[in-house]
Amino acid sequence: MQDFIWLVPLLPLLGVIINTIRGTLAVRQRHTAAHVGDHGHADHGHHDHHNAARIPGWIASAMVIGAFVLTLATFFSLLGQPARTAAGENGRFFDVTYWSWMAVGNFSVPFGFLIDQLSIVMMLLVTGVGSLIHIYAIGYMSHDQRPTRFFVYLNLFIVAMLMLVMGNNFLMLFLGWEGVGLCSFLLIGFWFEQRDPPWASTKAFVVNRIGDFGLLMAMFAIWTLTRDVQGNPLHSLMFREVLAEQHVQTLQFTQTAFLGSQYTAAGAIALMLLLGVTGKSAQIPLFVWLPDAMAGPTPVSALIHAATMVTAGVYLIIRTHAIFQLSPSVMNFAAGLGAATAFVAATIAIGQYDIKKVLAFSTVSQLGYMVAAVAMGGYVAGLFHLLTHGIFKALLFLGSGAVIHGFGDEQDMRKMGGLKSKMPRTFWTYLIGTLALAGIFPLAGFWSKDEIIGYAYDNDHRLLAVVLIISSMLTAFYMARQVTMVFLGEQRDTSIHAHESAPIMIWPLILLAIGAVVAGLINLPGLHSLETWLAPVLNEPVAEPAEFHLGLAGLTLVLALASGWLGYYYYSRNARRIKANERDPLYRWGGDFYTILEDKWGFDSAYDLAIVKPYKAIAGFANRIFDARIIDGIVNGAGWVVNQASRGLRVLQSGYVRSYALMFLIGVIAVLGYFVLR
Amino acid sequence: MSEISTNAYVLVSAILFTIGVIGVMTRRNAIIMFMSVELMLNSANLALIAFSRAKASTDGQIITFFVIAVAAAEVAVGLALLVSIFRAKRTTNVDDVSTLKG
Amino acid sequence: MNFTNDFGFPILSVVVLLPSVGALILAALRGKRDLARLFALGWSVLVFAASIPLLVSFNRASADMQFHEFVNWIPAWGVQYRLALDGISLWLVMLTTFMTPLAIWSAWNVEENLPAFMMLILLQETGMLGVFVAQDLFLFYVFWEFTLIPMYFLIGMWGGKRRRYATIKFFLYTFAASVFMLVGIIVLGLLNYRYLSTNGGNTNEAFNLQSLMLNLPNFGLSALSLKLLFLAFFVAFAVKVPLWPVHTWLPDAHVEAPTAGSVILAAVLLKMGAYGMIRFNVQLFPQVASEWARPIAVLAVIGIIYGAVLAFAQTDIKKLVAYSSVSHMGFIVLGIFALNPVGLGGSVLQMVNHGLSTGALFLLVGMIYERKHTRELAAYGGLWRVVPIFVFFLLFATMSSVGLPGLNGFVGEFTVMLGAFNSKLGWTITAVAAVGVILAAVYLLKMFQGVASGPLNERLNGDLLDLTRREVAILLPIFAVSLLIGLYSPYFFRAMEPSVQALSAFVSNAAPLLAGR
Repeated sequence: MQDFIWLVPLLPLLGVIINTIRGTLAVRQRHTAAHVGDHGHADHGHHDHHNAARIPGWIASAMVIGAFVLTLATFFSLLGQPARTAAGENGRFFDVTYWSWMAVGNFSVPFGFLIDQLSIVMMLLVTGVGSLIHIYAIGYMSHDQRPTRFFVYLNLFIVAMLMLVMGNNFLMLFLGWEGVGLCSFLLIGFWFEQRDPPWASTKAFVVNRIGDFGLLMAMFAIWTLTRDVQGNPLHSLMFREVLAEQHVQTLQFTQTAFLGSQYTAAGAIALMLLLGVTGKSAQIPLFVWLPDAMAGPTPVSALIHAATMVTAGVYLIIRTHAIFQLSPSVMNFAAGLGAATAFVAATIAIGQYDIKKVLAFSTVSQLGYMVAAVAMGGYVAGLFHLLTHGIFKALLFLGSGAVIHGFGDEQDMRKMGGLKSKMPRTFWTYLIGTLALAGIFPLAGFWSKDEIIGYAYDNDHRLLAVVLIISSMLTAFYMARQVTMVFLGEQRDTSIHAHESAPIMIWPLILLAIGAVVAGLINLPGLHSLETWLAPVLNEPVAEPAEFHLGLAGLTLVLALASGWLGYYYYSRNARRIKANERDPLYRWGGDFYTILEDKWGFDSAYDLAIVKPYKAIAGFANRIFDARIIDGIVNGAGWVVNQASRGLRVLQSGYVRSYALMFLIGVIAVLGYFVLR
Repeated sequence: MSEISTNAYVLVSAILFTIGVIGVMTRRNAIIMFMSVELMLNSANLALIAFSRAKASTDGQIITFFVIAVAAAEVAVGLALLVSIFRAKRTTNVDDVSTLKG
Repeated sequence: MNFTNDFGFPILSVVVLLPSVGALILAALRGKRDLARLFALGWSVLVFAASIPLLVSFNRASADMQFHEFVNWIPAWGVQYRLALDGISLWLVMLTTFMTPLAIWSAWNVEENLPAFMMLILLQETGMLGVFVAQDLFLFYVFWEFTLIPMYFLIGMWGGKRRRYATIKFFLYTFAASVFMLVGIIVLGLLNYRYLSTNGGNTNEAFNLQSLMLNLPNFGLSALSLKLLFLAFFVAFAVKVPLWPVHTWLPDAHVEAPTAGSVILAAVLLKMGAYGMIRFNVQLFPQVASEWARPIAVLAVIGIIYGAVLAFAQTDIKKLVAYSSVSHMGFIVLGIFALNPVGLGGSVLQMVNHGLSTGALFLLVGMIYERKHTRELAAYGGLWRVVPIFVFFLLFATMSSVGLPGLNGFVGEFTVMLGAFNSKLGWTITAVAAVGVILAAVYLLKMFQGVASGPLNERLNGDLLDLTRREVAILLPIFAVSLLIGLYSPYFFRAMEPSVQALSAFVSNAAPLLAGR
């Protein structure tokens, strides 16, 4: 399989190329058709258009499915190799280099892939969930004006995401990292004619760039500071070289001072990497872009902003855990950040009315769980939750997409209600996703979330465990609120005709629902298959399965059930009070506290006040006054001085020949006088 | 006949030069100014030849030829200018031709 | 003429002078518009073709000057006509011959006196090529000042409303700064002449750069005079780059220049400044360069941030791109004064990258301006629907300028910053430069979204026509090269590697500055 790994990203890339060419030709044809003025076929029929619109979708989906099959083949070929070599090192990986990407001086980076236990898991998630979402999108985008372009972007995203997880060095990871950022930008802004999407896409790109700044600095520092065993600079960005234990250790010996505190190089690098993580994985303080990113089409939210791209940060921490482990203080900080994000985002989710915004904040919250888990050292627990979350959150987003699609493109939950009978399949799959997310036994979310909380409890992060349990209660509450508001009770806005979606959209839901039920199997307590699988790449000598705390799990489950029931009870009791454009019934209880939740804790307005407005003001000042008056003023001032001086001198240039002659004479006398009197 | 001393030549040359200078400074008629300039040039020529003779060297004479040639060219250009100025302005008074100023 | 190459004729002279010959022929084509533009395009492609042998037979393993050719010009002063090129010049020569046909093709529809326009661009090409290959300081200066003249007329005759102000500012600003360099050149030439004549050297080579590099340490110049000489050169180059705070001529010149002029200005003319810094400031005064590396890098970094902030404040698309040049050129200067192979190599590549991506941006702005005759951002919006092909190319150019990995801009910026981080400039300066990368996304996306997204103004832009075949053909080569650099940069790095290595070694081995005297 090693020789064919390049086919995995190449297939979606082929999809990009084919669909681009098809799209360009179509534009050409439309142009010529418009020129010929061929209006005879104007009523060509809706049906034809729909079938034509599905072709690019099928091409794109076929490519991703192909990539999934190839990834499976790679997986089995990895499985066929011994887990550890005779020397006790990781035996299951392919490290292939294709060509030298950049090389100048002592800097050299290849274009190559590293497929090990960690990347193959991510690849399976990306291509697997990606395939289902592609198929779903065929139905979802069938009414759109530009399906071809949509699938070009979507395939391009798969390529970039694969680069991110398959790269064998930091720059390859960064190639994917920025590539998914670009695709995210394009897809959020896909409906560019509207007011919000362009703004949201710019915001997403720029906020992510702040994170990328961290990643860039981390790469510079890693390249510059890592030493080999002899103490010479290693000058490498290859994962298998830099992150090897004997090399990464050297990062502890360099110190740097910043803002009055001393950091080891490892700490500083970890902090910079963490900045990258907060950008891509939407952690405090950079999470603000993700909720706005919901302006994109729903399959995009499912694929990019729930299942895959936003988990890149978690992947990054696991990949570079060797660096993080050298700096316990940064690890603790990151864990606190993750837990805080989990809590804050969960509270905000309660205050949202947009069906997708609730899910967006839920995603932020769950990403907080993952970051907290990996930052506590629970890499397997974090990855486990990443996988299960990827499945059930994709399910929820696709379900919400089916709701939006079948409810006249309306996203306000206050107008919905009673959709259970109108779209039963959507309801049941959505319910499974909800239960999985809320962590209800025996669905996937129960196992993965419990493992994180259990890990926190085991490793003296009791406070974090408590915060995470509270967040889990909040999760159950807001999901119950959402399901109640959307599916139960009576339809509030009856002007909209609600209907079930087409089978092509329902089948992916069913498949994902099955996944949400059984995904817990991959790391069940007692079996710990994922743990065993990942052990070699995490450099843990013997896989040490986390203990399963029956009491803790039971407590979490009971609390989640209770708050879920509370949410259901409260919102079905107060169903009459929910009205379009009016505030939530909870406002009566929470008052201003509820306003804070609606206002997303004021992050956006704070940034607006502290960064955006000052930046605009400074730019305006620099443009109108500093550059024009001061810098250019000095330049023009020099010109002015010369001008004035010549105005003074021009008195001498009278135009009278005889006055020139007089000056001549005076000059001669002066010169002669000098020689005479010398 | 006794030799005329170099001093005498130089004295004549100086007198001629001074007349030239005064002519340029006091007269407004361009043609007379021209003549004064010629006077100055020729006084210089006289001095050059006088020194040349005194030093028994031909350098001064060579330079004199240069000066004569340049003066001829100068007169040609100058008179041409003067004619065109006269055509345009109907005057040879230099004070009336003062448009070229800063 | 003496020359050393395998071709049997002085190829560099041919490449440099060929455009001027074309300009002379164009002079005979006055009034024949169609013929003139066809001829100009064909001729500039011919020049490009003539420069390809340079690329092919360039010895990539050698750091030496190659394709030497010289003839004594003014032996009494020690001035020679001497051309040669190394790995650093090679790519700039290629960039020039590559961009000129595209600029000419973009000026297909110039209304007024098209033959003269084309003539000036070809003359400009000779000047720029001469700058990159001249190995004699005197000759360099001749070419250097010569480049001003065609550009002066291009802006002054085909420019926008404020072209008088812009041309005078452009000319006086750069010319005044260059005079300092002239003084420096004369001083160096005279000193070298004296040194050579007292030590029995060949005084014909007094102005030869290589001879100066060799002899300069033996002149016994004090630290102060070395620094003054360094400054004399640096001022001229800093204005050309342009480095903050002497950048204000650039936005004016760019905004008023016709599209082809802007493309040439951004793609090649600015590079002459950065090239000069490498060739003269670093090569002749390595000690001063390393002593002053930090303050200069600070200026460069200020320029990066300042250009980015100002670009964001613009509402005129062309001015926005012009300020983005200020920001991007800051990276190039930063890389040069990292003074290590990574930084220097990245810097040279970034010169090419900036030429491609900013050149493309100016081309695109010109194409849309030709249709709507406005460059105000507010007049556009939602163009994605009416002109998808234009927007595709705009996105490509924007992303290449933003520094998206996989495209050319990233390779240059990354290596420049890596070099700076690993040099004695340290991480703080690099960190500030990296902030410029964030800000680049801010202003470029503002421009892109302002043009491409949002609601479409049907009345103003509803009938906008998409790019023609000619326009696509102009842009495609740029993007092909952008992708090539983005994904396979070693091809480009390899040719300059020995030169850059040698230069960096030369700097680190340079004798320390003499104290006192």
